[in-house]
Amino acid sequence: MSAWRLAEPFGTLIDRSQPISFLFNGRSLTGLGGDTLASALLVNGVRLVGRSFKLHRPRGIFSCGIEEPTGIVDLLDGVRRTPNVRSTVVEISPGLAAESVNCWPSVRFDLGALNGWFAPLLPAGFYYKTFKWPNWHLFEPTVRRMAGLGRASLTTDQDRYEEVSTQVDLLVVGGGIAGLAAAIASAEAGARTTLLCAGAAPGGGLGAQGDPAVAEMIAKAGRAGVTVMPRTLAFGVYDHNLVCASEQLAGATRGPGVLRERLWKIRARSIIAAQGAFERPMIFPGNDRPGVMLSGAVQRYADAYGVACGRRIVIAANCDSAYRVAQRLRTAGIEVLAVLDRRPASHIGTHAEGVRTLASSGIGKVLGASSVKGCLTVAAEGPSVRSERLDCDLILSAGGHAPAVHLHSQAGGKLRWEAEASMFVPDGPAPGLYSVGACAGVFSRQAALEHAADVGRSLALGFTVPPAPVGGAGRSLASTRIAGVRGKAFIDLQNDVAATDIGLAALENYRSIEHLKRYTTTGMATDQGKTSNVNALVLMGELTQREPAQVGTTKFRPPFAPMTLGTLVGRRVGSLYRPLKHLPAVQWHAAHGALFEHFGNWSRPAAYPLAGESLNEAAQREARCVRQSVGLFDGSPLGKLEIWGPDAAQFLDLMYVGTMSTLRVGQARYGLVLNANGVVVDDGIVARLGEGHFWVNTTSAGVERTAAAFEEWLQCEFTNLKVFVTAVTARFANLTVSGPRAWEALAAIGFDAAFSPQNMTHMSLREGAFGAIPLRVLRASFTGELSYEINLPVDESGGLLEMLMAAIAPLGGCLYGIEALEILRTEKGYIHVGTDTDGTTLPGDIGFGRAIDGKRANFVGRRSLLRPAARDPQRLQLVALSPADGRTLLPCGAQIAALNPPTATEGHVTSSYWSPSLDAPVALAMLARGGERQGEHVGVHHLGRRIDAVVVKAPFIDPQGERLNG
Amino acid sequence: MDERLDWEAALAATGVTVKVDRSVRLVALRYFDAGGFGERLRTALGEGIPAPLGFNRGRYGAAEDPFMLVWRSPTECWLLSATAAPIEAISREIAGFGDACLIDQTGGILALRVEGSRTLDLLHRLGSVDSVPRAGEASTGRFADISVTAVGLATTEFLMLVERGHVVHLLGWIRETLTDF
Amino acid sequence: MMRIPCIVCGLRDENEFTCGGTSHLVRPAIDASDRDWAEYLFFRDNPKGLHHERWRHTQGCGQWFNLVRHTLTHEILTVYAMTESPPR
Repeated sequence: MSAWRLAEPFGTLIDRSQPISFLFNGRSLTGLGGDTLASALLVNGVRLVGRSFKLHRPRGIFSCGIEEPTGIVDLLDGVRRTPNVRSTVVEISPGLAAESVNCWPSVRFDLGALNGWFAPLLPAGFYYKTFKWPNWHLFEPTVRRMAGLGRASLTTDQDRYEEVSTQVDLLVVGGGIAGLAAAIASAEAGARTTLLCAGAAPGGGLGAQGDPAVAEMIAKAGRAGVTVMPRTLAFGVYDHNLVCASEQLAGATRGPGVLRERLWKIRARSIIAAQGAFERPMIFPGNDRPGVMLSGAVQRYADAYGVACGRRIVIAANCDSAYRVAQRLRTAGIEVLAVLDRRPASHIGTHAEGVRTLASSGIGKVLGASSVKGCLTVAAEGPSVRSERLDCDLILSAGGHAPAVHLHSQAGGKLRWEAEASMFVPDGPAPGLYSVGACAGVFSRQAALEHAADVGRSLALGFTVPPAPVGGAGRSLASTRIAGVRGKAFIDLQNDVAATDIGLAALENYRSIEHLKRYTTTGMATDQGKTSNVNALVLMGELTQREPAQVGTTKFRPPFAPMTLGTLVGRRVGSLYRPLKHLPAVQWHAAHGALFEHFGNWSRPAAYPLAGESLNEAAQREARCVRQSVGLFDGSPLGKLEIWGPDAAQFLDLMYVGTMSTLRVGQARYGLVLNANGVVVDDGIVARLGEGHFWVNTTSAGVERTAAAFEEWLQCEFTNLKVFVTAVTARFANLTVSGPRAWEALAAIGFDAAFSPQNMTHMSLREGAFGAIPLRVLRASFTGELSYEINLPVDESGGLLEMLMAAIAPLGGCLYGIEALEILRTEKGYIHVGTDTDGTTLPGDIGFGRAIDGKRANFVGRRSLLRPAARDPQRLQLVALSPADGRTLLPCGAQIAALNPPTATEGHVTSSYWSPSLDAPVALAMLARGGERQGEHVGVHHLGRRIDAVVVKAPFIDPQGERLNG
Repeated sequence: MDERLDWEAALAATGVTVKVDRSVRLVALRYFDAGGFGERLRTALGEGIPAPLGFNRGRYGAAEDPFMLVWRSPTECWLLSATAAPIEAISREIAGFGDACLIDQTGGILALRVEGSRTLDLLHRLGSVDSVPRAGEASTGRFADISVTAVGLATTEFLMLVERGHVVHLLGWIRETLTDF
Repeated sequence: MMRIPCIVCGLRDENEFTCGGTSHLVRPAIDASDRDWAEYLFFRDNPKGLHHERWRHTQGCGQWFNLVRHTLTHEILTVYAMTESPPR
């Protein structure tokens, strides 16, 4: 086996006294405390971890960090399954189980590898040219099965997540030496400073090497009062210096039902980005073979985890840091066969003692089918130089560095191409965000420390922030590829995008970087191109005679790394997923058998099923009961607004269709609220309480929207009107008693005769009292029966509720819910805004044309009703429908047409219920020219079926409305 | 009975307690002219309209009934009181006054008392730091995705005034948060 | 998520507000032509730069106010009352 565990001082993050067992593809392996899954797999000699997305080529671990493109696994933890986890960032824990992705039946013998045989037919963008004939639907199921890498969990996430808001003066993102230096300087200058680091502890790469200076800095940061937040990844910078970060809670990998991740929303006066730089891979044929790894990663596996990834290594290089890696690994006992440096000797600024170096060289071929077994060298000048075979078991890729400019770019910062080191660096600061260290292109240790401290201090004290001293990385070529070498060389290892695919994109003229990305899918995998984007754009530049700066980068968008959905959702799950409103008497209703459902933003009784009753059966019983006797309904959610002021009447005339200013005290009127487009957005009842005092009922779901519309007109347009709009929906409970025996019930408990039907007309509001309890009683009806809406202070409503319940019992009365109410109002042809109307419905469509013509005052939406479209005779109009056979329920949403399809639709069914009182179906619909089509037969079309229906007159029950008067 | 619907029960964790105070009466005072109304308020209760984002505390009458005036908007402030007397006093003062009105919201707006050393930890898990008033301030902001008027009685003592329909939702969010405290 | 400076309450998270779009639109009279009315309802300038817009602190004090925002950087330059004219 080519991997082994190194002795101290290597392994600064592991605990050698703590062996931990875990499972990989069902096989039990052992690692040590502090190991990541990647380091544990590597030390166990596991090279083959998964299969690539498109071609199912063998894939292993490539990096040692968040940028990992191929070491992807699914984690299994009891019933929990987390897909597409980067093995390089997961710490192993007892009982952890991981599984390879994108392979079947196993990673070693994967049938999908057959795709590789068809590779020439599957270049970039092949799916734009295939899967069409004869019908693309035939291919869809297969493509779906093949898409993706891991498998998602099919169970509910049992874990818990929370969201916290905080504010700081200075937020440092990144816990390496530059970040620490900036944080220390800032805190010592008096600023509230917080430092985020994604790893288990700060220290960065040098800390992992055991550099004592780093430990001293960490201690100093503590003494200075820096708040260090480990395991906290800043995934996005948003407007006005909002940084969002997700914190992994230690120990939360075991057991369900614990707080697993915490979302931090941090407003920072200033932000310092110190996330370091990623490493660029070299491009050579076979560079995707397991056993090809980033050079810095191999060093980090040795330093931090004490894992030697191979015994005999070859380094393909394009930068000076490769030599420091070579030197370091030699001290671990790893043999460095050669450094093949792409650059000419003049560019090479350093050397490694005792290591063979070949300039202007690279790798021509990788030997070994599913793991590196050796390689052949190639010369940059041409094939004249003899190729040499090197028997290595590990190839290190050292193409140079790419500063992690993501947060800088998200914050609106610009980039420039630093030609000497061939990297994009921040071109000055972003608004509110300053980069330090390798993140800013500063690779000299001393320069980085000094600059970072300077920036931290300057921001804390309000001084000018010094620019970054970019440099210290030596000279690197832009291209890491030797042209003309045959064999498949990969750019994006997860999505299988090869150098030839970039060539194809250039050939087909997808030259812009955004087109290149989407056409080839380079940079679109779960690693978002952290190790491939620069190589891709540099290559595109080569092929199209452009500099890298001219090709540019794609837009950087959050999140920086894959996010758990639960973290973004936080507490908004289950009953909290949106702010639901509950009835004041919710517990009483629950005790009386209510079946609650969500209606708009309210939780309300849909019905009160008796034992063995379905919801529908209960609704039928309740509706029949209201028509025959009396029903009790909790109408508390109905919107209630108090409109008060000397200009209240004039204002309501402006807001409503229907003239409200002519209401007498105690009189009520139905009205529609339109928007500026003339569309019906709310309806309700307006009643006058006094000269400049009105009681307005809106729909339950629309009260906030309507009150907001009223406020907008008053504050923005009609600013001279003296009117107050005050919502009192929650202050008053609304107990509605409805049915032919409604007054009997009220009289039985002692309601004043002033409220009797003889003394109180329909559509009137009377103030009074029940004992000491003040009442506002409205005689209005949504059921078509004699109805009393009793509004009273909510805290005093419990007693009356019980009394009414007792009063209706001997009359054969019952509680009724929303479902029964829908049946009753449909029987009467009363509309429900948003059900029978939509975003196109004008008042004339629902029978209000005459009310508008008759109104003198202007009102919101009036001008829109004068447009030609508003007068179009072909408009959909509200009609009542009955099935021709008198029995078939017409499905809601079914399309209506006289002819059979294919034909133009003439409308649709909006409300449809079985009427228990008529023992027949009743329905409402919107139908073109509906007003003129009384008695006409139409077809109601639903899922290939035609139901014959007749346009009839509404209402279905009590056409003269006599029942309203009791 | 689903314990989540019992909004009168107290919620507690180490460092914080949350409980609806049923004794709070609350009326909304609305006025077109703050200057004129402020004088009438001072006449009736001895305190004027609070400064924007502020609240005034006072005592009324021989019985020294405590009351609080909470600023809500340029045309509205809320009068909180445990007894009817201060409310009746201002109601008498503005009777027949065409430029101001009093709308009783008792029961429709509930008062949660939130106090304890970890109160701010809780509030920062309901809403943004910007929305939490300092001691001596009162302001309305978004907590648990709904609108709540918070009154900073002291650095770790707050009233949260919430529409009754939403109290189950707010307490539900608080309960979940305290579970992980 | 921006931080909007409410004219009354000061800086608050954007999710406490409703954006009312372009400010200082003049509503045509009822005898306006169909074209003028449609332009008032639906046509808007989409400037790459300063935009005068109105916001309401819906989950706060409930007040409407104006502000000037740079549409590219989201920098908010100034805030002024609903009934005030735009500053220069």
